[in-house]
Amino acid sequence: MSTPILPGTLDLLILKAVSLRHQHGYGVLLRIQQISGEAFAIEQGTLYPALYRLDHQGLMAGEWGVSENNRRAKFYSLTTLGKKRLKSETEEWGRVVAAMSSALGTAKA
Amino acid sequence: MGRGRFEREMAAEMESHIGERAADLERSGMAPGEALRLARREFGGVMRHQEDARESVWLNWVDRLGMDVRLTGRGLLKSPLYAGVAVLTLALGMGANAILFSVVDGVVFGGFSVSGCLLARGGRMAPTCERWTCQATIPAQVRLAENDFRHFQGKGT
Repeated sequence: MSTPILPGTLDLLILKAVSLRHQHGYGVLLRIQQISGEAFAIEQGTLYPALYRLDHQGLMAGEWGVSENNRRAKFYSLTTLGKKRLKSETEEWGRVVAAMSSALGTAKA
Repeated sequence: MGRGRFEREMAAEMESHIGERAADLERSGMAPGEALRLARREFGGVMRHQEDARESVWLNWVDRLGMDVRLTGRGLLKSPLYAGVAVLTLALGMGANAILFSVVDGVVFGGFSVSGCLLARGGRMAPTCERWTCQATIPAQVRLAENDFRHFQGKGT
């Protein structure tokens, strides 16, 4: 059962997906599905506003190239700033998750 | 990046994405026409996503502008003397401009009562003379001025 993705988490997933290897939009989507264990339902087109936002914030860089299917596509990779942001956001996420689990766990008990 | 280029690249990217997805579906055995249709459906409304993308880029630009403005504001607050001189210079410039304009406006467009009445009496009227500040003490003079004005406006006597 897929859950709708929380706003804000998509950006982080995109950064993570692109960090492994530069990828085009569709490839980023596939990789997100892969690394998240298909847990999220992502409408494919919603990827692009997020991609452009991250690009314009200087966290990613896009370059036109050719895909495996011989189709022209824009490939995205992380910039230095993007790598730093991914690291700090991942740590922050870990903190939030720990705090929430603790709070909710205590509430249950 | 220019607006035109952004639009073209965005459209190309989204089409390319749909094509890639269709190719994957075909590889898993689906018919090409069906694959493309499903790929489009999965992608969602292209127009809507393009609108969202345009909006997110615009919002990003506004955010950056806001940050720059705040940064500038803070910088100015830190050096009040510089800020003061800048404000004074602008104020002097704008004030001088305003005074000059109102003087020229009064002289050329008959804002002064005397010249306005004289124009009417002579039968000639400055076409832009909309404000009759003519406060002549002789009523006849005033009536003449008003008639001229109304005639010019095509309202008759």
